[in-house]
Amino acid sequence: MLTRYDILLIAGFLIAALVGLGVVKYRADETDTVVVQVDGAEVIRLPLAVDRRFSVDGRLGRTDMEIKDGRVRVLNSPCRRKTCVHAGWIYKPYQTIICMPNRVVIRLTGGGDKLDGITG
Amino acid sequence: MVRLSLLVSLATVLSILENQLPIPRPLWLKLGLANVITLVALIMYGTRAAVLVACMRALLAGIFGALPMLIFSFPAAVVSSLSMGILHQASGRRLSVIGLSVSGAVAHNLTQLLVAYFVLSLNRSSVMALAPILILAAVAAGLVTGLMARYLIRHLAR
Repeated sequence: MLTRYDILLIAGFLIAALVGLGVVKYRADETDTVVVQVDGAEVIRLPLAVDRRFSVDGRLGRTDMEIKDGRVRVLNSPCRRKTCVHAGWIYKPYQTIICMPNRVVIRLTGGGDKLDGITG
Repeated sequence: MVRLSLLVSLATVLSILENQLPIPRPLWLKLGLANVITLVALIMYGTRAAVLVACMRALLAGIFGALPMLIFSFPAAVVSSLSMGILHQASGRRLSVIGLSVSGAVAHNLTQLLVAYFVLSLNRSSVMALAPILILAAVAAGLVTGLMARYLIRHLAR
């Protein structure tokens, strides 16, 4: 019923899919959500899977952020030292960017929170 | 021409029916029953007929079903029927209907993923994560529809 070429073709697809699954599993960052808090209260929660720019209003003004390729960073902040901007991209579980002057905390969570432990 | 339009209407009905079947399934996975008809067109009338039937079916099912979904279904119909036709000719009958069906299903799913990448601005990592799942689903669906097409063609040929 199936020719030899059918079997080769189907095996090829299956192998490609399994290798792909393995790669994805291996590279899984376990993070899928970014949570932004202002003054300790959560104001926005976004999936890391969709690239976009967004902002929140903090104590001093607006903090602009960007999600791209499963990572997030601060583009612009009204604070003086711009520590949050210089923090660059975060993408690992529980990584955070904190802007104290503007009271903005950006946190990564999700993926079942399967960590053994966290150290500073 | 008459036979082709018959095939188009059959495929359209199958497509619409399948979308309304009250069988529990993940929203974005389905068998692709209409592909059975595309395969029949391909084997009995050739590549051009298959592409024609697939495109007309996608258009009609879009008009009678969910029009916005055309953005996904139309490119997928074009790419999947074309690739099945090209493989059919290039392999010189060494691929059976089932092999063609599986490759058409894989082409269909990957095209939709590509469209989703551009339209929904999914990023690369989530496309990477979805691709293997869609390929596995396509292989399963392609085997089933290929088997159906095999029996259908055998009976029609009589």
